[in-house]
Amino acid sequence: MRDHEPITIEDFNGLWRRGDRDSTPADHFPDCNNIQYIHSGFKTRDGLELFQAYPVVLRAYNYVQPGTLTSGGGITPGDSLLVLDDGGNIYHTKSPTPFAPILTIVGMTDFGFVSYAGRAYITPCDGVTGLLNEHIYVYKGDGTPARKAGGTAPVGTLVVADGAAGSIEAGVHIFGVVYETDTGFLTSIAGFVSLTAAGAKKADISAIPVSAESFVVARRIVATKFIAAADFTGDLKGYEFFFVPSGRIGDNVATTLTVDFFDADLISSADHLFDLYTNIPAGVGLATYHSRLVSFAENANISIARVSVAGEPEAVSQVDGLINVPLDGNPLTNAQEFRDILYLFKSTRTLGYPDNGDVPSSWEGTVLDQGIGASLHGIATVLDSGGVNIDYLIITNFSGVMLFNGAFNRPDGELSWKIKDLWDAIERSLFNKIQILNETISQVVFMTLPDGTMEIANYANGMDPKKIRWAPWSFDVNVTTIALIESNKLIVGSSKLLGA
Amino acid sequence: MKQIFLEHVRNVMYGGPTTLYWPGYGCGYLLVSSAPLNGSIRRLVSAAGTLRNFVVLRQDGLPSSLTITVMKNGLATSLEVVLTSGALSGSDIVNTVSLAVGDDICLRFAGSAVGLGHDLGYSLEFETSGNVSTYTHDIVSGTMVAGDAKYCGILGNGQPVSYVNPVRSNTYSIAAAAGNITRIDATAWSGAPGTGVWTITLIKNLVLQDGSGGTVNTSFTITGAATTGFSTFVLPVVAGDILEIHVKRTVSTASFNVAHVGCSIAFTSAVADYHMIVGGNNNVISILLNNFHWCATDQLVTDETRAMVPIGPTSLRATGLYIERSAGPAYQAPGASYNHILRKNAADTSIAVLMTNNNAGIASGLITGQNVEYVSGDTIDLETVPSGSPQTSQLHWGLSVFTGTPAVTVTSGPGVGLYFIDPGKTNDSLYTTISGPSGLAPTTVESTVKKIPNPFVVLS
Repeated sequence: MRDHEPITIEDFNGLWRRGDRDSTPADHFPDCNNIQYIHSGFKTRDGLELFQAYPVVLRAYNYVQPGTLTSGGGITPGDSLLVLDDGGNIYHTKSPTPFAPILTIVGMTDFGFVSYAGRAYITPCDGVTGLLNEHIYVYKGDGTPARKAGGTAPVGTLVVADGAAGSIEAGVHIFGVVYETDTGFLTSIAGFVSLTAAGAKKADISAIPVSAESFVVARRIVATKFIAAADFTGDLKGYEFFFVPSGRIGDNVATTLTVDFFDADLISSADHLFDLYTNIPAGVGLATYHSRLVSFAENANISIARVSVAGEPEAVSQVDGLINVPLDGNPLTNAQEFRDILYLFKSTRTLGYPDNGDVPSSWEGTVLDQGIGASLHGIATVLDSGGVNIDYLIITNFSGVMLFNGAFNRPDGELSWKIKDLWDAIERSLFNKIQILNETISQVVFMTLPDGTMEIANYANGMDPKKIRWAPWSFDVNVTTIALIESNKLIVGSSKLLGA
Repeated sequence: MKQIFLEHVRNVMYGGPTTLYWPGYGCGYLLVSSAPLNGSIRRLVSAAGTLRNFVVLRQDGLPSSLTITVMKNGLATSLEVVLTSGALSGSDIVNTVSLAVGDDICLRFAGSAVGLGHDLGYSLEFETSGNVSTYTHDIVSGTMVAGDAKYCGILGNGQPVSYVNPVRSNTYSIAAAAGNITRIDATAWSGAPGTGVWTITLIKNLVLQDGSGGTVNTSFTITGAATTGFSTFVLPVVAGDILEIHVKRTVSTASFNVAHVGCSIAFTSAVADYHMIVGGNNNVISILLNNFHWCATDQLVTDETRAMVPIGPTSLRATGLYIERSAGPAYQAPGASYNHILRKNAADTSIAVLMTNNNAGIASGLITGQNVEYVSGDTIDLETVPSGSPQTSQLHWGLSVFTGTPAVTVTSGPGVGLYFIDPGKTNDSLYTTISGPSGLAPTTVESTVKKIPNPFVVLS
């Protein structure tokens, strides 16, 4: 072309969607669909291949179970996927029957998930709040159907009598029993009965309830310390209960047990069991914090986060196992542990709640940002789980794709600076369709967009808004969800052919 | 649900008596001639149900007729297959037999003595209510001094040996489906033990489930004037668990008897319509030649017709196979392997477990999520294929089987499903038909190969 002076692009720096098209820098393109970046350049992205033939896929998460040792001394990854279809069915790809749902809930169009102690905790939701009258479920990962986390208290009344010579001190003792489930959950106390002990005898307990639920694997006897007869009010629930040493029946069959203890042996309080939820209300999502399970945004309580007892993910107090985030009419959208603080997000709010060692309802919150929050699936999952990488979070919200290191910083933390026009064009009500992953090995961030396409960001040149290289990815299918397995294998869920 | 007993009998009608007996299901190793019928071949059931659809496949069309009758509690029933002279197969799909918990069954073979080495496979359907299936083991026999205990697999392949703790018995069972064992039944065929005590307990993953140490208490005793006993409980089982039955004699010695104690269990599958077919023992397996196996087949069988078992009128689907070897094939034989292939009509299926481990001890492998359908007239067996002279080892296996109605077909529109980005692939492969029976692997048809949209917009 006459008078044309060629421009040599030494380094191509990806998509540019900021300002007028003519203002696109020479080393960027306004359109560069379906490319992926390599060391010193770019190429057409890799192709799609079928991973597993599930029906219409709405959501998928990597569910990591313990790996297995190989004969060569290595480890076969324990990666698997939990997959939601449009019929409200969740499948587990490594179940012995991977095409039999492990959970079916009518109306479930999205779900929250967290792995805890090898088990999967699942909360059914609609992408905005937890489903009304639904609960959190637990799945053991072995193909047996998921069941509601928690469990009902025993039914019936114990019968207790003085037994052979022993150590129980004279006076009134109240006895009760709790069920222990196969996930370690201890139900509320029931079966209350008082015994006026003669002293220096054991206690023979009978009529110990047996659960009809197969997941109840043991029963535990609880008891109060000595109560002087003159002080006994007759209120069988009005005293502190303790786990009785040797009071565990390791089955769901036996109905009798003899226990023996000194009051001094009663050191492990069981009082926290009184206020537990039988089943935990479903939220829109799940997280973990200080070995606690965190659920947030129930249908009837959009600003409440439920927090379990530490180490007991199914033990959530109805009284003080909650955080009540200031009401603003918008539901909680996300939760994340970062630098020892529990961060709770709404679409335009960010709050921090440090664990003060007391019950969650006593934790003092701090509002960090009243303009920027996080979307539902908008905290980048690092590889297979968790959100923290090199001491920052990557978060999507109305303002863009942002770095969060305890605060949102602009412009240095606005990773989507180059594609601001594209970002601003996304319909606000559909931000819950955006799912973001951080593949730290190849240094690529993957995102689904509400229109069924994807956006990738290569940060091999630096996690810097000016150096990051963006590229749109499109397919002939409508991408609804993404997941990473085996560290860097990108799974893409599809709900339909585009245009279909 | 429908449980299918797929069993094998070897050396049918060898030279000798013309009426012989064999266990109705579960493991047996010797045809027994006995009158009155003793307990050595009578197998208890722990579920109530109906036996029907009795189908027999004979290895060779011998010039002799053979009548095979299902016996219930020691008495002949109407469920009977007559193989005429020269016939390879026969069936009775008309008559039925009702069984209650604690009943026992066996087979009676009436025919002519024809010499060694003539094998036979049969299929017998047992329909129960709910998702309950039942399993048993070979009889505890011999002399049992007070304190002696014997153990073996409980899922159909067990043959009791003296208890060694904590070591797998020669014939341990591998569970192939998840669920709960809920009941054990036992009969003291040698009579009421009087002062002696039989204690029956399940072993799961080498741990006695007797209530100690937090285990589920499955134990119960038969003593005094009692000749039967049972226990109920809930013992969770996942696929891959090792399951055995443990029978202990205490207080007084039980003198020699060919049939002391036999047991059965009830298993409720976690997923509807699943049950297990389990095999394995200490048989020698060739390190040079392909061998064929099923429950109770002979050692070193290289003629597949001597291991094939027929499928009856109720179709079934094999969905997963669990394999354990007592040592890795590559142990002291670098590069060697064993492939374990489920066969259908003497041809390979997609269910295959290739093992290349070099473990000195137990080596395991599995394949799940499969959907190999067997229909009436098909045959089933298991082939082992050695490569590179692998380490000699015992084989144990468990097959998960689905017998539900595969009528529900999920058909999804084109392009849906779970895909992955395939490094180096230069196009997008989309799949248009994804269909399959509920709970089983769907079939997929690749519909279109799409060129990845051009990365650059063509300016006009």
